[in-house]
Amino acid sequence: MIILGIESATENASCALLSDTKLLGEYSLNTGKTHSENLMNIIDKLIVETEVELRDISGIAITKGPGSYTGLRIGISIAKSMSQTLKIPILSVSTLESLAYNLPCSENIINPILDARSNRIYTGIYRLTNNKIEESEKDSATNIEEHINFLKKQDYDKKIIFIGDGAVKHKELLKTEFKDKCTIAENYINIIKASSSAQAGLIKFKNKDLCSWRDFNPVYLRKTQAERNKK
Amino acid sequence: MINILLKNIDKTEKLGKLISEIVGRGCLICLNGSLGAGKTALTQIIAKNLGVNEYVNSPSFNLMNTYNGKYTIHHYDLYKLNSVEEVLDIGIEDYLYTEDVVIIEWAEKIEEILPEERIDIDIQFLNNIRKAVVSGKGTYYEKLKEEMAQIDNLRD
Repeated sequence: MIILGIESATENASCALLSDTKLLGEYSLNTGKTHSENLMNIIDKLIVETEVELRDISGIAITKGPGSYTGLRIGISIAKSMSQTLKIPILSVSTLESLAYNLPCSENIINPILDARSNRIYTGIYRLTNNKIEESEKDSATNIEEHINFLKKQDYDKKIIFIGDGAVKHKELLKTEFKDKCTIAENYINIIKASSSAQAGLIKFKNKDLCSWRDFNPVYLRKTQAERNKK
Repeated sequence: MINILLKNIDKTEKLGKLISEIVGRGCLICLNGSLGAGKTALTQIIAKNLGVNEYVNSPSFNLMNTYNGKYTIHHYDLYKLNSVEEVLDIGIEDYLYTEDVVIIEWAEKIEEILPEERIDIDIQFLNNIRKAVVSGKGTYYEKLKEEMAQIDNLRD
């Protein structure tokens, strides 16, 4: 069984081929260049170089969002057309969930934070349960101050690991608020990687948590009209 | 807020050139004013002074054009869009917070989603008199205000 992971929700264009025994290959270009120019090329290269036959791919793991509007649509268009033509399911992974999979073996609280610009963030809480990363707080769009208040109320007994570009942006604030009860992830894992999405997708595939290309839609976690008017 | 009487195209040229001198990475310029007020004309002057050689026209149908000059410039025309939802559906947020220069015609339509730091230029065309009202917030606006004060014949 092989899962193709495709990733374009943020600046990183990435794809990976993951079997149930190993990561066959991964391509990541975090150059900020247009995904429309890069993504299809690296998928093609990866498939050629790994000598994987298209018919051996069982599913396509793709991040549904939150993330860049254009970026998500590029990756999703590719995933949908491949899913339709190869007749294989889409494995829908949250961008934050994929980030959490960058830290797969941690018993700590995993808190992915994506910078949503103008002081807003996308965030969710993930925890390792039965060797599986599970969402313990739903993904949401908020701002860093509100999120810190929320975390303080939870009074977790474990350390919180902040990961993602939002964690980097608000590093100082998070360190001041949580001191030694938190860790900010290292730079090299602060990007969203197709191999992490593929791993999340592999587990979904095994659990028959499948999605048809017809029903798969991006999730932008946009502000509602009422929230925008509050400003 | 600064009022400028744009008596002739020379004055518009001067304003456009001045703007092109103060813009930098991440600068957002919002242009408002009725049809034919001169929003696109001003954009053309700014683009030309930023080294864009291509012909700049209003992206009324394709909504956004991107030009490469001293900076990458994204030029929007939101005239035919009716709601903020529609504008969000063309993915404008990806461009509002980049390192590029963004110029938006009919920006007033999406006031609620615009970043606070920006330059607003309202061009009014009444009784054959063209007037520009420049307002805004942030470093680029402050720079523009400063520069404009030094050029006497630009202000009223």
